[in-house]
Amino acid sequence: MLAVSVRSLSKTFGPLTVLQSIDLDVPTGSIYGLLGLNGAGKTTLLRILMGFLRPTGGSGEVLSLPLGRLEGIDRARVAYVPEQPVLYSSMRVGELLRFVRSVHPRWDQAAAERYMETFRLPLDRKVAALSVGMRSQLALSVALSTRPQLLVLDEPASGLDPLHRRRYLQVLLEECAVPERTVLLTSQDLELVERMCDHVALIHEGRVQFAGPVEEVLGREKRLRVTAGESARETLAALSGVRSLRPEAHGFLLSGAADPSSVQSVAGVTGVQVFALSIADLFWSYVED
Amino acid sequence: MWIRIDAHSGVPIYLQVARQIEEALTAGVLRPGDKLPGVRELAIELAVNPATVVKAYDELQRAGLIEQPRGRGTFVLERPVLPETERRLRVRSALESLAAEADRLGFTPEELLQALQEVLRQRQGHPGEEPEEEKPHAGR
Repeated sequence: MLAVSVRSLSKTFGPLTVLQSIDLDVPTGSIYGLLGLNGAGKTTLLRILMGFLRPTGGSGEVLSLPLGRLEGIDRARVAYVPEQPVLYSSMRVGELLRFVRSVHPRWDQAAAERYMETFRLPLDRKVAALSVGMRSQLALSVALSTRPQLLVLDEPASGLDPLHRRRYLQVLLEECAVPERTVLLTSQDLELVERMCDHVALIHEGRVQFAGPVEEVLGREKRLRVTAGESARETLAALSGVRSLRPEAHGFLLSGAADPSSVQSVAGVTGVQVFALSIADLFWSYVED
Repeated sequence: MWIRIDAHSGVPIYLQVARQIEEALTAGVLRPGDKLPGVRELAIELAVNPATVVKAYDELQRAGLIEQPRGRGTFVLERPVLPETERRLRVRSALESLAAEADRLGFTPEELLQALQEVLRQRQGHPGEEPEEEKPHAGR
């Protein structure tokens, strides 16, 4: 089952192409991390999924409904928390909760009260008077209290101090590491994605560069330190699976899915050292090379 | 349980968790029969995806250090029983790093074998004692 699925999705703003051709499958129950540099189009993609923006081309489904058809009771099954959450800042925290409760068909009051306690959010404080960290925690609490099947978070926990961040992530895991709930999040925070996500994708230059279960994605690529003379360069670069080849003191640093034994057998190669990659390594190898 | 996670170290998080539990076993902080925290509980405490903890526990089980009887939790085993392949693999990798180190230091294969035989003889003379030359990461 897929919570989100898009095919050949594109989005242009006038002359500017933000998303060229995006293919993405988000399995139900996953905690899916979308990586990408500023301006890569992550937020645009989320806004298209939420129906706030119309794609220029391509198609997709959210909770089995075609893009743009997420309305009414179906819309209520999805919670979206933008990077700067729009909360009614003149309301007190308690008033805000009562308000959302009155308009949201899936509201869970007991859960809302539990989150207020966990995050120690003061019910009588004006939203405007909350710290950045508390406001993020409030936005997450409101989103979770609507018992979403799909939770969409744009840059969660960004700008939080270590304590607020930790509590935020713990509540997110506690509520979302369950088979029936899907989380799709964007983040610049490679550590957060490495810790929290079981699926990951990188959007770069308008396309999805890699995507899938973390283990699979990391298993596909390796970094090889190849000791070799300059003469081996062309043969190495032509090997299947080689994505980048960077010269080093006595050889090359090779990134990609190349088979170490075929690298070893290239004439002029005297040594091969294989390194497993982390998500951060993989991210850097795509955006820098 | 106190486990330090460094998401930037390049070592997968599940391995960091598994290794630190293994170290706690070696140090006697965890003893045979002790119950380890549940998967969800430990995942939330460490703020990592539960699948990571599952993988760490599976790794420890494969190494014969813990058992996970269905539905009852995770327990430290009495005496580590390594599967034969794992047993061979560990000695093999220790030998490989030993051979590489000896090679770097200019030992001939004959000299290395001689030195190894000497160590083995000494061990036979004093069974149970750790030879001083043993490198700290040997046997891992």
